[in-house]
Amino acid sequence: MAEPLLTDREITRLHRLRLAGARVVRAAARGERLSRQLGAGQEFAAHRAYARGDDLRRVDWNVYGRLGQLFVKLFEAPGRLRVLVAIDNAPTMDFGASSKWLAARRAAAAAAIIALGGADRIWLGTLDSEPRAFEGSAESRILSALAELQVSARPARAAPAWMPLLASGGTDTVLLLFSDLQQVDVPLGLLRECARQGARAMCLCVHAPEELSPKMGGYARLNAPGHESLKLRIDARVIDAYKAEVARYREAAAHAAAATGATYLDISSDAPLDPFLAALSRRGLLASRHG
Amino acid sequence: MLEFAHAHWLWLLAFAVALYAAYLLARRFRPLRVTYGHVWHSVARKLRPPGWKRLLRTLLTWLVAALILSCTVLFASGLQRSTNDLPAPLLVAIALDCTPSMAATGPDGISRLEHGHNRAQQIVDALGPADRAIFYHFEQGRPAGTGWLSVGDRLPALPALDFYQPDLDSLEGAVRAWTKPQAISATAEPVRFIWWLSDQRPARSEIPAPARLSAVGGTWCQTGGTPLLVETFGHPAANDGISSVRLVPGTDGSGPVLEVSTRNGGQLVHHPPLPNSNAPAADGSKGRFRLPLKHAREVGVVRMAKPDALALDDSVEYRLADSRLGGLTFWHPPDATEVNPYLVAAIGALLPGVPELARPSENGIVVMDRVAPATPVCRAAVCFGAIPATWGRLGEPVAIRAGFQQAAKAADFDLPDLSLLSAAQVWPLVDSALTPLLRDPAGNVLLADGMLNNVRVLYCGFVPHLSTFLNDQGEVSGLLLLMRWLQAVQAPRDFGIPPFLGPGQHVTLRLPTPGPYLAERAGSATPATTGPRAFRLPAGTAQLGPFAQPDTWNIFDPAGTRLGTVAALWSDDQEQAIAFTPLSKADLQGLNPASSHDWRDTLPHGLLYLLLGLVLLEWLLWLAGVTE
Repeated sequence: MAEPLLTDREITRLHRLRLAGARVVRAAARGERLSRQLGAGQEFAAHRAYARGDDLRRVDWNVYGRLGQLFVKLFEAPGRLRVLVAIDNAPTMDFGASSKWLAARRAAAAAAIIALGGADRIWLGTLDSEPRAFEGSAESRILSALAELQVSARPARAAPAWMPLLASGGTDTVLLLFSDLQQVDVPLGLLRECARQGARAMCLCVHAPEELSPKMGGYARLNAPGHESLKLRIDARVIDAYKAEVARYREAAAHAAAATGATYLDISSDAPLDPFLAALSRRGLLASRHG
Repeated sequence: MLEFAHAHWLWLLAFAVALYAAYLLARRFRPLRVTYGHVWHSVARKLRPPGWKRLLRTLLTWLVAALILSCTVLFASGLQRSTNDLPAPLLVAIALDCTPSMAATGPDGISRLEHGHNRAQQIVDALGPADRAIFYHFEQGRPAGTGWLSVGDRLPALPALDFYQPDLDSLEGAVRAWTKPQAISATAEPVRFIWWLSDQRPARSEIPAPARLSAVGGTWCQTGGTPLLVETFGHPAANDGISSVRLVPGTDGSGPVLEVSTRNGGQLVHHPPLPNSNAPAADGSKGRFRLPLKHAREVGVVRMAKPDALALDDSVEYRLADSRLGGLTFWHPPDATEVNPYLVAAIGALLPGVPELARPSENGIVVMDRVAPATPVCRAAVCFGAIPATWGRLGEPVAIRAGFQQAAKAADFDLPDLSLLSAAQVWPLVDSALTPLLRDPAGNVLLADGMLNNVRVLYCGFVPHLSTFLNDQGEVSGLLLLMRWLQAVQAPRDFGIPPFLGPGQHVTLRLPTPGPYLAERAGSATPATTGPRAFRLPAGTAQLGPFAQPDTWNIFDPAGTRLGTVAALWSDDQEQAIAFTPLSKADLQGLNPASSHDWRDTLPHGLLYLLLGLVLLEWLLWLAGVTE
């Protein structure tokens, strides 16, 4: 029996977290204060100037008494936030003594469980597959679904199933994209579409330590997925050149992801969940469920 | 074909195979799974040597491997000639006749022995790669061989003459007992034969040449079961020479006589020239000479008047034992009245037959009466109150009364009682190497004896006419001393060493101590441990001779003192005749005819050298950075 992606201890800890500010949107374009999703909910959120057709029952007469102007009260709408968890299952993800594929799925599982804690709806899947929707107490099904995901034999050429989801969700959508960005076309396309739809996106770039600092030497036939095998005598000069080249490439990929407005986060496959959660927290994406 | 001196080390080549396998293993491209394939390809494009360098290295590697494989396949497939195709290897015993006749020289001044030695070297140089030879010379007739020689090896130096007849049967037995050298293929049966280099054909029946050696030609004889190829060197020539020498002791006061016989009536010369004679005296019979040694010298040489082809028998050197004094010389002060007539009479009486007042000679005695010459020429000297400055110094005269002096040391003759000698003036001897015979109570040396510069010296501090040395009242002590000393001088210890020993003769010596004694060739640079022999005396006697090497031999006692000299004579009519039998020469080219060479013999060489060259080239290119 395969090892579970997350231990019970980790799951318990994740239950204490929730996505923070996931529904905050920008309203500056309409002169409104920053508010949550505004609507006819029970919790006051903000004021806005009265306009013809507004419900007079929502006019804040106290403000009118102080200021002599009509303002209507806005309340937080109880809408549902959509979290899209997309995992790049390119063959390069299946690499490393500490597998990148496993690390990506563990991080995705953690994000999904956190999102479920906020009673959000979650869409989860690989780039080249149809995403599955989860909501409510779907924690075990999410974990099972993640455990069943497989690395593809070839990189995804497109993400056709994810585009409609982004288009239909609008600003009420958060995309979490797990990838090693070694094939950047599809992931970056997804991030750009996310930005175009006004959704928030986060690119979580997974790498294995031996990818950045390989320990090898001598005569080798290098077999890289998607490339012809390469016969090369590897020495310190070659390793140094490789490291520099990889560093340049990763930097360029990070810039490209950031240019789409997405938040970029680097994940090492041999690192535990804590640094990943800490990074999410530093970026204001996590909050304690009771605080 | 390649051959190895120590083929059993060839198994070390297995390490070369292991090394090459390890090299190939290290050079293999191990498959590695990586990501960032486009990065690796980019790095490879930037850093990997250009394709032609990698191709060159690959080609060289494959070429080397192909050559190794080719060599293996060629040998495994039996491309090399089978042993049936190859001429049978030769095992040759090159035997050089070392008998004295081989010392005869021809018109070119080169001896037969040297010609034979040169020919032996030519034979070794003409051997085939698989052929082997052993060079034999003879020591006291027995064959003595080198190790296995192959083509290109150098022969040892010219061997010494051997005065024994060579034992060809022993040589044939040795050849038959040879074990095949390791370098010769196990399947090839070599052809063994003896190549006899001499000046005469041995008394063996003639046989045809073996089939393998039919192209060699020459004269073949049968020796046991081994063919014997005979080659002779020399020219017919006549040889004089001394055939015998005999010393006849003198009688009735006459000197000894050398009786010498020569071959072919050859004339003799004696060195140094005999006194009172301008030429050796013939006794009327042709080739027989009587050489009267009236005044025998210690060293002499009898030599043939004309040199001939064989110098070995042309001279005999001898050293006669010192027997009699040959002359008497007095030195005395110029005042004739000072001459002591008793002294002259006494010495003359003690040396009968010695010419009185002769001129100084190396075999004479000098009597010094208070006057000494600077450098006496004599065999013995008696010094009365005077001594040459090089021999010693005299002290101030002292008075000696009878009965007070004391004998100091016994000499090699019995000392009479000298206690009654007396004189008002006796000149003691100081600073001298002589052995004291008599001292006064103060320790002054009054009488002394010994050898100084090969001269037997008796010093007497008593001057005859000023002392009782010759006329003491009780006994004739001084006269008795003088008589015994002269006897000791004239009759040295006789060990029985004769001046000549004929061929095969020996003599029994009377030697005082067990030895060991040593016999060394006079004038030979040969170390004492070789050639000459040491002999030990268990009971005071020893046999000297017969000598294997005719020459003049000195006999030394354990202290290194020469006891005497013996001339070992050589006489061998057959060898002295230096007979020569001309025989046809063998053809060295026939040992390995040129037609027997085959391209398959050289192919492995070529492949191997090409292989080594390519390996070297590959390494050099790699070191120079030309290839990857």
